[in-house]
Amino acid sequence: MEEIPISLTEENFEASVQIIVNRCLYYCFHSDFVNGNKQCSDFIVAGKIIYHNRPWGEENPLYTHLYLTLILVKGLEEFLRMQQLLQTPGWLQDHKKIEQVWSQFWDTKKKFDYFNDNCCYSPNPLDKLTENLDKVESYLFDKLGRGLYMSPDILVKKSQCNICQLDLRACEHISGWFYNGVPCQEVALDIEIVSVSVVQSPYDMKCRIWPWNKVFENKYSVRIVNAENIDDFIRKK
Amino acid sequence: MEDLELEQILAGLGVSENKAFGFDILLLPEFYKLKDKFVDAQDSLLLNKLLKKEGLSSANAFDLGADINSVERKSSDIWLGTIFILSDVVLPIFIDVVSGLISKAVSEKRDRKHENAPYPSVHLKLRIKENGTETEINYKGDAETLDKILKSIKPK
Repeated sequence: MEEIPISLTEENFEASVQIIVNRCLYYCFHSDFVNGNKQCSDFIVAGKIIYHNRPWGEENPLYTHLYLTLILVKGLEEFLRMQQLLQTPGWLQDHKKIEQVWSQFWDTKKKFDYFNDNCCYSPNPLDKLTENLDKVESYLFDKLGRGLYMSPDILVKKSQCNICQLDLRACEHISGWFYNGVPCQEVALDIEIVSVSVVQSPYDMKCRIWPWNKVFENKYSVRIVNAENIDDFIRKK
Repeated sequence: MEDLELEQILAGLGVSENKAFGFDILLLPEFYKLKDKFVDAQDSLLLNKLLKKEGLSSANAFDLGADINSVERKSSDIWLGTIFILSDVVLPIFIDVVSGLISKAVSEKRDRKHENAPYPSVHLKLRIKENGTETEINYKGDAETLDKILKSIKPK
């Protein structure tokens, strides 16, 4: 694929994003990990600079599109990484590799789902690749079983809104809605894990109990809560 | 969740009944046995804000002056706590907002599950008080059935 460098400006934003996303999708469909990773990471670096520096004015709806496109492209980068792991010979015989594949799959799926739920482009560029991801999901459950997961009850004693830094109960911002390109999120400042249950349908599929992580008789080493957010990579400047 | 009357919950929160006067909808906490205290259900704050956006007069424990914790259950279920409707005039908008919230939440949470996983359940206690009569719905189940139940409720 011939590559001409693209610079993102306010005027050419939608056309440039379309070209870049199409390139990333091409590499995903052709399992071209080297070029795909480069294309994705170049866009993420450039997009983050614009997102943080706000060169198109403080208030511009394009920042929401940019945020969602960053999530989309990061999802594509993770899709490529997952594909690469799935092509590693013998990964199903290696416990650590299985955990890596599982974790990589859910990182990818969370980003795809978030983008699909908030998609700002028509047609949705992820439609076809989401079908491929669904096939991977079926394959993983077929090979690894349904599994059991940890699911904690967390008491939130103090939290604030990431938009206005006030107590989330006292402000007008609504979780999940975008405010000048920034999604409103609850920032928990003081929490207590009250209990942990073993469930079949958890909030976080990465909290899976793996039988080989037995540390002593009926004691297992497991992840009970996942503090990662899908946009951690955007927040890190 | 205990079956508590409005007055009992307000008393448990240390809130006088006068403070609740004038609101059409109260989104009140649940009694959380593990900590032996009242806590806000995880999705009730979002619901309260959405109701206010629609211009309804709703209040949660914080609005009534009670500073309590909330509980986040990291499961795929949707927890709305105990809701008192004190004027059935608001029912149509209330039902639209609840249905919208639930269908969006179910779609988002369902995305993250394999095809054989159980659908997220909705947990809700709804009390509709009007003219001395009370309709009570204690619900734990799928979103579609709840939607049908809510849409079948008619103001008296």
